[in-house]
Amino acid sequence: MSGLTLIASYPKSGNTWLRAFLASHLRDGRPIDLNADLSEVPNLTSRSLQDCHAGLEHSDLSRQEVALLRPLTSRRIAREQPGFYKTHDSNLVPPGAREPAIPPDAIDRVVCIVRDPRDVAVSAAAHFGWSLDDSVDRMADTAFCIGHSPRRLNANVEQWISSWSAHVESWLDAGGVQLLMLRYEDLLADPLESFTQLCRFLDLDDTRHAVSRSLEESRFSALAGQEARGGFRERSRTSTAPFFRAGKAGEWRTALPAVLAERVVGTHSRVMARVGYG
Amino acid sequence: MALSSSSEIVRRPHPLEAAIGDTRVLLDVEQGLYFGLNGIATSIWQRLEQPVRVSDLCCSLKAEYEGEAARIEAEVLAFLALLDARKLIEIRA
Amino acid sequence: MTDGLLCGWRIRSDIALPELLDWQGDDRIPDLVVRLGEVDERLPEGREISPLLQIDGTGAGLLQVPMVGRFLVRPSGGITIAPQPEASEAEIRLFLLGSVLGMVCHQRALLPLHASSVAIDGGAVAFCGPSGMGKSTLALRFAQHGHSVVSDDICVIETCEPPRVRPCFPRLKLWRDTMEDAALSPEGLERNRRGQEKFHFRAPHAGVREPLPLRAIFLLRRAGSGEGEGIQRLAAPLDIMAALEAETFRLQVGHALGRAETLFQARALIANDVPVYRLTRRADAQPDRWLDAIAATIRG
Repeated sequence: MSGLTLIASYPKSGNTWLRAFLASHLRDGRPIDLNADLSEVPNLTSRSLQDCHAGLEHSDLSRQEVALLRPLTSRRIAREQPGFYKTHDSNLVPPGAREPAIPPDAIDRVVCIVRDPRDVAVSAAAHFGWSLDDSVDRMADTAFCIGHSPRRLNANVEQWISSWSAHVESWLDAGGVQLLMLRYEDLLADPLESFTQLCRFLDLDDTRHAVSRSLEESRFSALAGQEARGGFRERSRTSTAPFFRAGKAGEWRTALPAVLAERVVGTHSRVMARVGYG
Repeated sequence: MALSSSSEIVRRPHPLEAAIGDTRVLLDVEQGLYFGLNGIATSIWQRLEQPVRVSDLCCSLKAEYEGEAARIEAEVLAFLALLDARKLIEIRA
Repeated sequence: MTDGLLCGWRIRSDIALPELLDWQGDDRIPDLVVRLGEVDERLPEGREISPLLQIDGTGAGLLQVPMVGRFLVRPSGGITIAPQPEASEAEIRLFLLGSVLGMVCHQRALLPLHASSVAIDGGAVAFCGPSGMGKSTLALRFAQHGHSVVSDDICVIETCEPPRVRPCFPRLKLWRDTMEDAALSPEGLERNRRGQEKFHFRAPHAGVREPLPLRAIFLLRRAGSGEGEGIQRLAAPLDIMAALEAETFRLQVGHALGRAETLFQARALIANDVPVYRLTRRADAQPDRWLDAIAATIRG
């Protein structure tokens, strides 16, 4: 395998679950320590990783410079430290840049996880400490980015996310890369089948025994239990709930007011239909 | 190349080297790996500065350190195998 | 414009460098001369060391920051800057006294550590660690308790016995939150970059002119879940060597300039002579809480 193997998703779409699974799976199904072993699938946008490969501090760069630099740094990481990485970057060209942050020639393959945007809205509100209203608005915002906190240093560099629809489509329509799309709902409904598909795509051990063992080690209750006992370092500082909060599909039916659910559908109906959310 | 008492051992060129306290620290710049040698290991490493046959190395160690010849040879071979695995030496003939 | 003092060098510059102390030494020819001028986009026969930096066989380096400008750094000490029209002087100085200074250190076979440092009991104490771990914050808190700031991002070490720190300048780069936590107002201060809530704060005490012996290095890290806070001295030589390597400012530049061996020997010298501690704190630790413990550790 050469280049970057990405676990790409809009925030709060199941990325960490996949990482936890892979963290166990890549170490022969061993139990995982939530605060140590997710580094098996590190965050591509981690500031220290980006600073190290860019040869300077992103905190001294303007947002446009970061956008110009990121593809160059991605190529460098692909060359010098290929492997699995998590990212929330979209596959879009940020303003002022000439190519997406992770250009196709730096990518080996992409696992793209999508989740019903109505559930994402509920989960993102708790994670970022937003109101449900704000959450729905941000998901419609084609200028949405994360990793930028004006008053203090952010642990990540800037990532151009765009709207939920634009984000999802940017990966689904990525040209020139091998791509596997997984729906969060399918992962929940039939984990064995979906994760077997994942392993096959990533050329990892896809035997029933191995996949079940890694699934067991990364089950939701185990991750939530670890977070309850020792915290989780990737939890947002503005969060109003545990990171491992519900882990369910369809929560929006009770948690999202109908008017907001309709607004989500109104904005994202075309892409929702495309990925099978009726 | 198999390692035996008749092998000739040569250091590979240029790991960087410095003494820190009682430890001899080596850095293989290409691999980016550090190695620390203590006590007798340092003394063996120093004797590898010029190409040397394993049997001669053992003799000279026996002259300096008390010990049974067979045991010294076993330990020297084990240490050399370690250095070889880390690509710090080359084994000839 | 009077010449300035930077790490013991006499520096003459076309742009004002208000962070620096005035040169008061002998009438030597300036060691570093900064000029504004044309700089080509490529360094002929330059090798790309990182996305924005090339170095050629003569040891000259070219740094290109898209919206700030190009910096050509010759081993002779000649530095030419071609600024972008929209770049502010603060932005130009940020890179001149940062990345460019790091390159000059490697050209001159000094060891630049990615560290802030302050003067305590006549020696320099350095704080290393990843961005966001509180290097500048600790330096600020010591400054507020009357200690001189010796360096901010780059702690320049001269490898003699004992190793000495060449003072940079008493300027700290601080985020708004850090300043407000320390009851300081960023009002009227220059911004690190336009629109950024990070400011250039000049510490109130007179800067340091002469090199100071390096008294101790603290590696700042965050406590993991369930891990206690504390100060622990590193004992294993290999741990110290690896830590100092990881904290070297622009290590790749040093290697590209053929300094691997000098840097290695510099690390070994420090490992032999200077205590290196790991300072483990929780993310929510009060910055002032560790000042006494740090001072007590140094005084043994």
